[in-house]
Amino acid sequence: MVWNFKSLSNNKTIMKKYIYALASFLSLGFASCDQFDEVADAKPVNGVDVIVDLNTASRSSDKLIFGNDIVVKFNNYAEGLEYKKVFSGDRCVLENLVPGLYSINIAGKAYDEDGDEYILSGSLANYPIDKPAVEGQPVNVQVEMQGSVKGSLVFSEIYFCGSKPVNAFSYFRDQFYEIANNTNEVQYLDGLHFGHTDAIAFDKTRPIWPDSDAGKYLYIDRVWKFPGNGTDYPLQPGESAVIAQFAANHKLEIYNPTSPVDCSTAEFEFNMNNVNYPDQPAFDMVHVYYDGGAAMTGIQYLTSVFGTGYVIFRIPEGDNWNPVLDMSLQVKNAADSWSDIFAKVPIDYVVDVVEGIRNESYVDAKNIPAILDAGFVSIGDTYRGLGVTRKLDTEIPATNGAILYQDTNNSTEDFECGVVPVLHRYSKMPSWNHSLN
Amino acid sequence: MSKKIYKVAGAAVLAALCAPVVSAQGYSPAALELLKEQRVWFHSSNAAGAILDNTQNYSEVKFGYDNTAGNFHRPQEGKSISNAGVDCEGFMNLNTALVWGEFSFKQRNVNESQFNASIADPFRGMPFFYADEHLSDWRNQDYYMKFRASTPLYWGKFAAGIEGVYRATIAAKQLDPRVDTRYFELGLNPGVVYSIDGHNSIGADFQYSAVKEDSRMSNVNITVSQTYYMLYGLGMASKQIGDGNSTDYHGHVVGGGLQYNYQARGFNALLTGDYTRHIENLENLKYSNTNPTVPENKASIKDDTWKAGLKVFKDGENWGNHFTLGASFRKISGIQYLNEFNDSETDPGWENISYNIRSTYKTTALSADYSLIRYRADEYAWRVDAGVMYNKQKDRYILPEARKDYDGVYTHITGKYNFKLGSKMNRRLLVSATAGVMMAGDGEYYHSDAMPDYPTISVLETGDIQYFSSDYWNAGASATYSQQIKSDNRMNCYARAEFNYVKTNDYGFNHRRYMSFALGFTF
Repeated sequence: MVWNFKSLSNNKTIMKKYIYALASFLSLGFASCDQFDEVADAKPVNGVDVIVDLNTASRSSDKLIFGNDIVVKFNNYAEGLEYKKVFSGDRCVLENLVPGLYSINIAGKAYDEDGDEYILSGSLANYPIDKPAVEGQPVNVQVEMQGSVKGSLVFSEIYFCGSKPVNAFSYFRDQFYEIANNTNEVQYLDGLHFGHTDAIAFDKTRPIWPDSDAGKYLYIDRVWKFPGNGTDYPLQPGESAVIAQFAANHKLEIYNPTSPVDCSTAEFEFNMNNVNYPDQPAFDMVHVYYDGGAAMTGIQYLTSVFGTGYVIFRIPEGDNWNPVLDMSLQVKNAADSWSDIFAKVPIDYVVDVVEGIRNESYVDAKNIPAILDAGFVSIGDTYRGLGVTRKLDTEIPATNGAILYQDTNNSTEDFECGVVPVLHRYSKMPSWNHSLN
Repeated sequence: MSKKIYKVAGAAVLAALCAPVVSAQGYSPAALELLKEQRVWFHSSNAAGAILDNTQNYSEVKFGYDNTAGNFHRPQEGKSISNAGVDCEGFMNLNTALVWGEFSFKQRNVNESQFNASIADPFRGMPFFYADEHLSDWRNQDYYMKFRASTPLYWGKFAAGIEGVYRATIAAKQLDPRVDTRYFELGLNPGVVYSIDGHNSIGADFQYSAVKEDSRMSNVNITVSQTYYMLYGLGMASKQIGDGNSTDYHGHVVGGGLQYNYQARGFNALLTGDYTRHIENLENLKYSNTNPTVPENKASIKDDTWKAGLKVFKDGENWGNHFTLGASFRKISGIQYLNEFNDSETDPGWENISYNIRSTYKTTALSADYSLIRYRADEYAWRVDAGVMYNKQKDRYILPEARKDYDGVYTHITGKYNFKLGSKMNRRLLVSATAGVMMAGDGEYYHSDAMPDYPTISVLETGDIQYFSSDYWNAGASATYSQQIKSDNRMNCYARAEFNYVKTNDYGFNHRRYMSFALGFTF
């Protein structure tokens, strides 16, 4: 046998290079080990059993007895799941829930020793239900139940999504907001403030507010207030007032004949001195604040056609809330470099708030804290000519012609969504409505 | 290293275009078909086995157009599909190395496809993507390049090789919500072969590829928001409205294969076994722009595939018997993440609470094929191919419970006759006729009442299970005319027309027809 040493040497060199190349390539594959490790140890999902304990402020004195018709609802909006159970007492068990973020809503009645009835509700928003700390044990959820205090003034109807003209993409001048007296006594609109929060971003980018503010404020983009000297604009029991973006008959040919509403009878409007949409007979709302100042910047007052947070609030006597002059009441959204300067409104001021969102999948990006609105309203589309209307509370008898609405601080429960909007659907016009005089 | 890869890839592509002619009159389509078929190692994942295939040099360039239409299709498949493109392929033995290369480009028009609004191929094994109800067209471009390079047998015993794959697809949905998505795949499979003696050889290869898809949805008509769904699998979905999302898919495939080959005079058998694990993550980019360094991990897949195959070729001077068995088992686990948004000033972004396997998809495929071939010189005069395939799918969404099960047996037979038209210019007319019957089992799709009543259940999954539960038969034919370009030039050209018709009467489906035309050159 004759060895060709040169050839063998070349072969070895080639092989050596090949082995190096192979080793380099193998290292490329191992670079993704983290990704492999994380996924490799994923376990099949198990249902989670949940124990819900209801707590009340007066519970320690054992004075309240829960009724037999407590309803608990767990909504996982991201996956379209709902678990509902009717139970009695202060504890219930739900079995085999899919892990996820849940909005938890509980409503029912309780009685004191004298047999007096209390309407109770409690809620938690975006609450993570995950595997229990101890395998095989249920997850315990504590829900603080509160007496359902009906707001004196409530949003009774909101129309924000706009309508679709026959020959154009959109029409949004016909937005309106109706505020109703939800008591058996006269309520005054004078000095009541109206505003809206920033809408949830298309991409769900969450706003970032100062950590030190946590739980104290709502952040309002533009603020208006009702005119009057204190008693100029009363709402009697059973009456409501409509604030239109533009208080005209939108069904006219010059606007949008397919609009569902004639707002020419609205009590108030957001007049922005736009010559194309001139001042109407309705009373003008008073502009208070926008982007760090009092100037009424802009040509229209349009809120998001996808829905946003609608707030009415009243400044308590003795408080001097003035975000124009008081810089400590101004703040920017740190998540948005183009952010407007928002006005901070203490949540104690809030009379009523309703959060409108694009659709249920946006509930995990809710802006309004659950303590004010545990739910949401949604049309799920834009320019459909549909609105949302608050349900009537039929269990409470009306006196003095009062129309009483459901108000559990959970708009999902309190409102019917996707209805053709109607001004003064249930409540009457106040006697001072311009069209009546 | 990268320069070497480029050099090898370049040589392989060059091989596809300018391999020297070795056959006397060049390759007729039947001769080239036979040549490719007889490379048992080529059909394995190990590039190093090329030296044992003893393949002659060849090149082929093909321009083709095909069209598929008819209502017998899956909802995401498109009412009609047309492809126009070019393919080229070639093998060259350089003595110091064996190189093979392939390149193809296809312009793919998919018309009236439904329930896909985000990824280029909804059937690639990724259950998590965005979908809408609109019937929309897609305009896709597929680029595919594959090369193999291997050594001769060193010391008569040992050879090494490498396979590289590059695939890129650009796909655009034509109706709101639109998507511009780009899919990339880059794979490298090094392998070795050891020849034990003149008859027995063993081989092993390592498989790695990186996968990435960048999907960006948007609306052209920004005044009209669109309803769409994030699919989680088996109809489970999350309803959304707006202009869509931007998602980043990125993954890796790691695996390996083992081969055993026995060759004797007129007998060639190859036993193969392969395993790959494919891990791919889906990250939501749009929802994470407050803190891009912490994107929202939406979901992942763990895709394990086991394959086994046996090829036994018994070839005589006039007759050939080719027998092939194949088995594959694939299990995809769909993993979903539970995330919470941290909106603190200091560290905003997504935080993962947990992740679980929420769905599984199991595919079992078995096949057996037999070919009887009557040889004529380096081509065949006629051949009969028959086969049977069994496919079983078992999909589960764990909570809330959903199941999708179906199976079926497809039996087919094809006859080909290669007419020799005179003795000059290597003129041939290759005709074929094929028929097949699918006997589908009783498919079942069950979903829990807890699942939201979305069209992803009532239209997408219901339509899908009806498709897979349908019995059908198909019949087709093709004709390929070929000849030398010139009598003194060994380049052959061919023109092919093919037609296939699938007929069913189940679930309101009717038919699907396929036709294709190709013009090619072999040299």
